[in-house]
Amino acid sequence: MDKGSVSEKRTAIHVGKEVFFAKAMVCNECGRYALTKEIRIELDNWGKSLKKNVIEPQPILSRTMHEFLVETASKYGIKEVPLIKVMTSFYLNHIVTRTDYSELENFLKDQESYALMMKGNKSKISVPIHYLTYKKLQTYCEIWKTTHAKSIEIAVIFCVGLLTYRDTKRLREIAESLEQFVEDYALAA
Amino acid sequence: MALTNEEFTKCFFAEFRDIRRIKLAISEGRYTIWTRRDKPNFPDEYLMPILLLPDSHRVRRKKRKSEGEGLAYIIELQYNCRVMGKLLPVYLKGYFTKKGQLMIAFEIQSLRANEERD
Repeated sequence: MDKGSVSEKRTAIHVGKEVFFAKAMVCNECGRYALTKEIRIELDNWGKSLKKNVIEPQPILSRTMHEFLVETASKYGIKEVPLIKVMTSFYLNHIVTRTDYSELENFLKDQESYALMMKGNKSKISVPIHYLTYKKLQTYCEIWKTTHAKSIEIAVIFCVGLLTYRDTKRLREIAESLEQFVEDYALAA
Repeated sequence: MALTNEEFTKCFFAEFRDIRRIKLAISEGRYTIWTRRDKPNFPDEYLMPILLLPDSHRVRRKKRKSEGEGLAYIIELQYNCRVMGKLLPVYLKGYFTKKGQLMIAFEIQSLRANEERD
């Protein structure tokens, strides 16, 4: 791209474990390819139309956390894994975008319920992630230099903290919006 | 409705500040991100905070060395971007391409954390 010439080539763009192929201009010297508006739209349409999940991370959660998730999920008529997916989506779309995000996270970590939720043996659970959530999760991982699985753990721990501790007006409002988010998902499912 | 090449060119030259021209290109989706496989640039959501920068925000011009039709200079810009709850200093480098007399798009060569710039 710096000095060399470019030519159009079939280019593989990796999206999790899936690959999208596009005809893109590629620099013959450095190998960079041009992600144009058209390719971005094609890539997005392809990703949204995918029937399969693009990644399947395995977060590790405590037994207490699993029990809480199973019980909460059953209230909405869904399973534990969909609840984890909804919580992850809520966290990435509605929590990390808040200006008081760090403050909320630190506050919840200081609560007794946080320590209680960490108790018990830990076990993995597979969480299939589709394209749109993957895009958000990938950005989160790059920013915070962490893994997909760890990011999901952070999201779930935060959301569970919200649901178990809601003593202030601000936390209560966020918890209610999370409940509404889960309810909407459950109804759509 | 997106601007035609002629309309975009007219709007482009109506602006004399580079920051305004970059904002115009972003809002029209007229940008290309050159992507390295080993160390990809940030996705385009990192461009959005540029739309909120004041017109007085500092940009630097440098002579362009790369081939291809376009303006003779590259533009460098540094700004802070709050993404996923973290404030990140971002470095952007690119140039405007044209075809004949028509301005086409902003070619982004670098869009990364400021400390990782190349």
